[in-house]
Amino acid sequence: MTSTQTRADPILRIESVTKSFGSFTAVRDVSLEVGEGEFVTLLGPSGCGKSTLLRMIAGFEQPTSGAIRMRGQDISQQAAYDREIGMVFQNLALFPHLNVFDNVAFGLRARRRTEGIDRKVREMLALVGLEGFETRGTAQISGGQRQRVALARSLVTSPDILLLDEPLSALDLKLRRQLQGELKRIQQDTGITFIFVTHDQEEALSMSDRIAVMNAGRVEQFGSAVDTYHRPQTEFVARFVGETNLLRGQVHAADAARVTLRLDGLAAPVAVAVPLPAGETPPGQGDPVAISVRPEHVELGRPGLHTCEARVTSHSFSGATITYALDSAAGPLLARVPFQPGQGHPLPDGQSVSAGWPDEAVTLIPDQPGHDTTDKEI
Amino acid sequence: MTSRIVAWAVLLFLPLPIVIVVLSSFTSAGYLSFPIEGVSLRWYAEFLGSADWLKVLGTSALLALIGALVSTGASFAAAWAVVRHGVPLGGSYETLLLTPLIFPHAAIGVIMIVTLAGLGWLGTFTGLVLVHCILTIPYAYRPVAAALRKADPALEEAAASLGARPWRIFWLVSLPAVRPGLVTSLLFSFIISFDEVTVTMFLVGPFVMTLPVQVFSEVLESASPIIAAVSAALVLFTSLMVFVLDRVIGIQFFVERD
Repeated sequence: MTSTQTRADPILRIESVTKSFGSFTAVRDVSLEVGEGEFVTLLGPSGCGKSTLLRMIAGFEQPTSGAIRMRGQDISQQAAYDREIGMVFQNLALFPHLNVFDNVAFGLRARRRTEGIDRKVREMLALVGLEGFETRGTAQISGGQRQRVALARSLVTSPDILLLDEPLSALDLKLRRQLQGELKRIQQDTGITFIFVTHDQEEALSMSDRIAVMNAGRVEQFGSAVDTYHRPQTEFVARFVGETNLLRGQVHAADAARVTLRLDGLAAPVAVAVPLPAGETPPGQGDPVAISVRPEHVELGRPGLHTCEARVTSHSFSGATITYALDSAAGPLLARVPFQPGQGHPLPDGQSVSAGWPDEAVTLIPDQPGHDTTDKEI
Repeated sequence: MTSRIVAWAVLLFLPLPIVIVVLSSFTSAGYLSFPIEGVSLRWYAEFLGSADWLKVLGTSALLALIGALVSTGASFAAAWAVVRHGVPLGGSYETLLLTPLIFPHAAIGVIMIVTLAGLGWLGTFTGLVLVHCILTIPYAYRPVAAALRKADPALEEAAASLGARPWRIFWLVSLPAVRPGLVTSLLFSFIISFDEVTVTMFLVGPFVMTLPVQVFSEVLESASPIIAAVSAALVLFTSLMVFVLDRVIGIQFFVERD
């Protein structure tokens, strides 16, 4: 499906790659294509196999089966130092016995490209905003600066692909946001293909062209950031990327354009119409399904929507919005509404409201409850 | 309060014999005594003017140098295998390397007489090198292994991702990362070898003699203050090495657990 839509010719193609360590399978039958100049993120919880996949692309691990092709050529058995692939490590791995300049110059010297080395290193330090830090030791600079040195070091050899293994995870939130923006800018300026690993879904959404959501060694969904958030294809993706309301029910009626369903738990069956993505075969009547509705699409007390009665159980205020936890016959619901003073918010706990959402906000999740999501193809 | 007094007494008592030896080396009398009768440097002059003493000094220094290089090199190779490649039974292997520390020196001496005689190396410099390597390996292994455990393996991966081939990675990244451990190993095994008496005295002969064993046999025969002068020189030299070690790396590197 989405895995074949690349914006350019693939620079990297991962073909049914599996990696086992003894009896443990870290990566299961993963296939991905990454286009030239793309910013692709591997997103998933710890232990989902994203770092192992990254290390196989880097050449530190060999796939148990499958192939990794770079511009068509199989590189699975090629040594890391023969690949034109740079990497920024989670702990940065700056050389402690070298100063900033020599750290950045390392790759040029290792590849014996010493011509104009001084100019190239200085240009790279300028790109990451570290002019004047050449002779500093790596212990004499701040965390954010170390981050930039690591980035400059891996970019100076102009790799075809840059791999980033949770490089921002050790930084505080504010610095993190700032460096996210800078990373994105540097990626666009240099045009280098970035493959970024993170467990932070906000980071993934804000930086990536495309996101591969991984779970238990498999890619559950590979698509644009917007699709990942608004059209989750599995329960796991819907729950992992952002907050969501997952409601279960059965298909009431279905045709090529839309599906109508009844939600479990509601005394009077509520028909919810779901627009069906083009080209998908509608499910059969009575099939169990789940839907995902993002909290920000749940509206309170607005007539003309598919609604169910609910009761406020608690709320949390976060400046621009206020999030209510609701109890409804269809199960617990989260509703995030814009906060404007003097409009009756926050509602008191115990208050009865009607909660509803527009048809377009509903995503049909093809996975059935109890279905083994790890068995899904991408 | 009492415990404090005891602590100070122990601290003062520990270096006392050294102080006495150093002071008595400055005597002008012809025999070893304390307190000394007159102050003179004649025994130092005698030590540095004696071809025999200088010869054993040279032998000890060369023996310690070769021993330190060999056992540090061997320890590095062993630690690399255990720490980096996780050889099977690595932990038992490490314990085995430390056995010369706990094995009685008299027993080692006897075993080595038999072994070296079998090899035809008894009373030779080569034989002493072999034995000193065995005796210094426990001291050489620990600092190198500790440094290797501390070194981040991601450094080598980072170097590989930057295009460095295995030998360049080794010289440019792996080795510098454990340099403090290597220097500690070299200095410690040098000191241990240079000061070794108990096992060495089983193995010396008419053709090879080390400085500390020579001091020991001189004590048995005469009580010449030259022994005090030689001992004081040894103390000075060892202190200098420890001082350098502390300056270069910090002594706690050896003392702390790995």
